[in-house]
Amino acid sequence: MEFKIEKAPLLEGLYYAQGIADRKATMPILANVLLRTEGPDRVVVAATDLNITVTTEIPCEVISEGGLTVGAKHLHDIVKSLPGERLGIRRTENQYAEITAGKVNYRMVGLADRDFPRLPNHREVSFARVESAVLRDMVAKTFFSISTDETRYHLNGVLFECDGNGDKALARMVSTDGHRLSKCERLLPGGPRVSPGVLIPRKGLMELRRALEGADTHVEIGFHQGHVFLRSRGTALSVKLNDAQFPPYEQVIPREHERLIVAPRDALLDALKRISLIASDKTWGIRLSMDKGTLRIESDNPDLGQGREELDVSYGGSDMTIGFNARYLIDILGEIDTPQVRLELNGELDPALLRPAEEKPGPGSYLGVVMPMRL
Amino acid sequence: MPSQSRPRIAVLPPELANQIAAGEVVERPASVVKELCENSIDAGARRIEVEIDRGGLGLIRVTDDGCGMTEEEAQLSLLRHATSKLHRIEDLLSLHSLGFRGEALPSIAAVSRFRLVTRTALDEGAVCLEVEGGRPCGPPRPASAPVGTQVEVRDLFYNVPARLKFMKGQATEIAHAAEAVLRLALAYPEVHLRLRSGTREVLDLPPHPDRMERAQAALRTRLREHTTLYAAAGEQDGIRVEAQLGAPSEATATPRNVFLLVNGRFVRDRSLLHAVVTGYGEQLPEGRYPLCVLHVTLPPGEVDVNVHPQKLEVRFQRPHEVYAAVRHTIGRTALAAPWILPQGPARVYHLGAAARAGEPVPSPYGEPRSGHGAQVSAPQIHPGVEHQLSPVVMEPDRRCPQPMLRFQVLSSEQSEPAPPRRFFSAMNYLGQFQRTYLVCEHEHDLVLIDQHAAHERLLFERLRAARADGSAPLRSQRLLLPVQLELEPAQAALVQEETETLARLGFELVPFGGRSFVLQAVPDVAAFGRGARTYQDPANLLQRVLDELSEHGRSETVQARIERVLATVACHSVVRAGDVLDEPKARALLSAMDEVDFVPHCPHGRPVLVRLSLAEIERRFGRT
Ligand SMILES: Nc1ncnc2c1ncn2[C@@H]1O[C@H](COP(=O)(O)OP(=O)(O)OP(=O)(O)O)[C@@H](O)[C@H]1O
Ligand SMILES: [Mg+2]
Repeated sequence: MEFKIEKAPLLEGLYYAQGIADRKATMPILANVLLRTEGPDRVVVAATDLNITVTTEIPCEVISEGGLTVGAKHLHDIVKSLPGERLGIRRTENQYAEITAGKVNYRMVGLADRDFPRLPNHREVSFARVESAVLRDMVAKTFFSISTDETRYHLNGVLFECDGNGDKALARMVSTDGHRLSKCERLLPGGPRVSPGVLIPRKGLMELRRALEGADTHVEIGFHQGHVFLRSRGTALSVKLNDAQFPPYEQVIPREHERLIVAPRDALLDALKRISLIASDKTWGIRLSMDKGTLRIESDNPDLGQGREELDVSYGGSDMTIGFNARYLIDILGEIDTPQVRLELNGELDPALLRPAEEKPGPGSYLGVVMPMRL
Repeated sequence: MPSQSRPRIAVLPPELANQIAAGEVVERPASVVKELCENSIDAGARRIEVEIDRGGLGLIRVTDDGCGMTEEEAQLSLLRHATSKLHRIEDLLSLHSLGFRGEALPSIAAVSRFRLVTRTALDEGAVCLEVEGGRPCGPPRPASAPVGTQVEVRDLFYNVPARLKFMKGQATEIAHAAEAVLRLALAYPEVHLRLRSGTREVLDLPPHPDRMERAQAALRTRLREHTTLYAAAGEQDGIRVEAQLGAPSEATATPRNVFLLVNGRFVRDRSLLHAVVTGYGEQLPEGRYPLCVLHVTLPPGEVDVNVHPQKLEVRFQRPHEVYAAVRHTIGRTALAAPWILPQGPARVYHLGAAARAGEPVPSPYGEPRSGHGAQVSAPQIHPGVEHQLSPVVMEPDRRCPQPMLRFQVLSSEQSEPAPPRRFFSAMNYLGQFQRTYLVCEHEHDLVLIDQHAAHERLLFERLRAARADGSAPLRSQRLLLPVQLELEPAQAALVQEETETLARLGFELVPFGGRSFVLQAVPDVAAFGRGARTYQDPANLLQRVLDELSEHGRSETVQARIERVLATVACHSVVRAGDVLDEPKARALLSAMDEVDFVPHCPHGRPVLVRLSLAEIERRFGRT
């Protein structure tokens, strides 16, 4: 197996690959990148950790067909350091890979390409072309409330649903870590039909987000055999979905409220950030007290002292004090981009709902639910 | 039933009766040593010599300079139930002697070749009595000997082969005998005690002025790191408690270094042992026992000493009060963690004569600090007196020999509960060693900080602080998705029993019929940082806490239970040894340590930092 290739596109493919190749894995081959010729003028560069797979097809000049695998990180670093625009890669005896560029020559220890895990087959996937910005936004608005506990499959991912309604397709992402929840709905013209929803694991979502950042205005998305596929130009990412039941989230989103505060988003966000400076390092415990027309944000930390700020808000309900992890409120506020926000409350032990004030529930809505804290 | 097989009732011949009774009192050579030494102490001896041979099976000879016995008394002493120490049963209530049954000598004499030589101060000469297997070898004969008593026991168990078979190797028997002498030595510091085995001197403890010096000398070989014990003393409800405590770093897996002495009597007592361990609190690594000599003194009428054949157990009239007194006394001292004071040659701080209350006291932290309770700076109080920092006199501790390169454990003194505010952050951070220790420079010393222990302690203190006086419940996060749990029967019972503890920890559990519960709120573990991941799952967290409670629960107070749980939780969410800490992180840890009331021990009792002085380093390099 031998091919000659441009350095720049290969490097790009290797860059994605080494981000996924798993150096800590117990299977040594997972630390390797697979290079396999496809027809007379293409090579596939692939890496996988068994859950996430990235493949990039790069034009090249195939001299003889076949494949090889070598350490992804090392190959990336070596290619990056090579002089000139072009290089050649050749498999030699005992799974060695020979890399040549001008007068530079490397021989790298490799492993047989037939031992590389089978790559998910993109050809059977039906892809839908959607706007990458919408997906990116939805991921951003829900990513933070995914549980980071990988042992809790059902919470360690984002729920993705889409009605596949052509140009009016409505997509939804929901995540929760058991303390708070965020739900984002967006029109995703041309979006695929995904119903019931699927659970995209947090780690995979991170890769999807990375891929979306570097993508063109549109990407192709598809769901097939327990995987989600994302394709942009020559690079395809596939992520194994979590095979778990997302909790019945609709039940925990409060439908009614006894108290409604409408507050300026920036002022509220800044106040929360300011006051939580004095909440001890990572506990972020703060108290909200509301009274006609004012919202008081307080923090009381035996180690550091107290802080308090009053905000003029629109509030007409009865007095109440409720504790929160400020971080949870800040995360949601950070993703709301309207000037005014609504904070909907019931009792001091009941869930609170935070959403943009100008939005009507329905297509294109965003909301966050936060459970209070007993301080 | 045929009549000939019917057992007949008969009174045992006295020798046999004595042999059987002896079995209770004399278990092994060490029991003989113990009984004979106790008799000597009861006789007011100031000096007791014990010689043994073949682990005591060949010979046990105890010689004292006590009051001795007249010929008549000597003969009586060998009769069962003959004692000079008790005449009426009420006397037991005011007993000040170790013996009271009048059983020891006859029992020993029944199972050995026995010889007693004794002389009172009033007699011209001594009297000698010999007994073999309980049978007198003839009438008493005169002998010459100084005032006092000598008992010789040869061929122990020669006539009880069954017992002989159970004897362990000589070394074991010697060790037991030494232990018996040691126990008495700890209780009676004024008595000179010697033990020789063959030609080897096993123990030689000259009279000591007090229990502390005696304990120090007697236990020297058992002290691993610190050559020092710490005194604890207190009185509560008429119960006097005195203890010599070893540092938590001396802890062992068995209670072999815990000596419980009640009215001068060594006893085994689970409750007292527990009181000692609880007194040390979380400084003691879990499941370990400290080195501790505990003296409990209370009116004789309040202890029943007559409950165990070898007098190894006692019964208290007010066990709860005794428990509390011990626990509090030890707790008070342990809380101040005196062991963290620098010890040993280079670092014994003696205050100069000028140091008085209100004047700056040199601190082991190297910065001047206010003395006991001083609020105003010294010059205002004593105008005209020169108020310089009184010099620290560093005097080698005479008690311990020149040490090897020793790392000193550093901490606050009893009267100085916390290091100065900017102690840790003022250190010059040099780097990380073995991904485990932070290497710092402080003043002229090299300081090593165990990153794991430090972080653990930090979190623990934060958790404690978070609960203010210890009574406020922990912050509790309500769950968006309440978790329904089906508990094991034992755990379900535990949940019912521990409702209060769990509530104060921040758990909200609602019974849901049978063994089902709904978990609606959990303690806010966000504060635990990185490792809190383990506890993101509320069920996991509850599980961990229940395990902890079931293991240690019942005997502790709610408070103690909560603290233990906190310590465990803290331990599972901290920087570990092996974690790479970059400089900003290391510095952050150091400055965070200044934020809490830092007792430089991790909640499990290991020291957080050790300090190596420039002087010691220089000495190592032969520069001084
Ligand atoms: N070393 C000694 N010096 C003086 N008197 C002694 C000595 N040893 C024993 N005696 C006398 O002999 C008596 C009997 O001793 P023995 O040890 O058998 O009984 P005890 O000490 O009274 O009670 P216990 O069986 O509880 O030890 C003692 O009461 C004491 O009067
Ligand atoms: Mg006796």
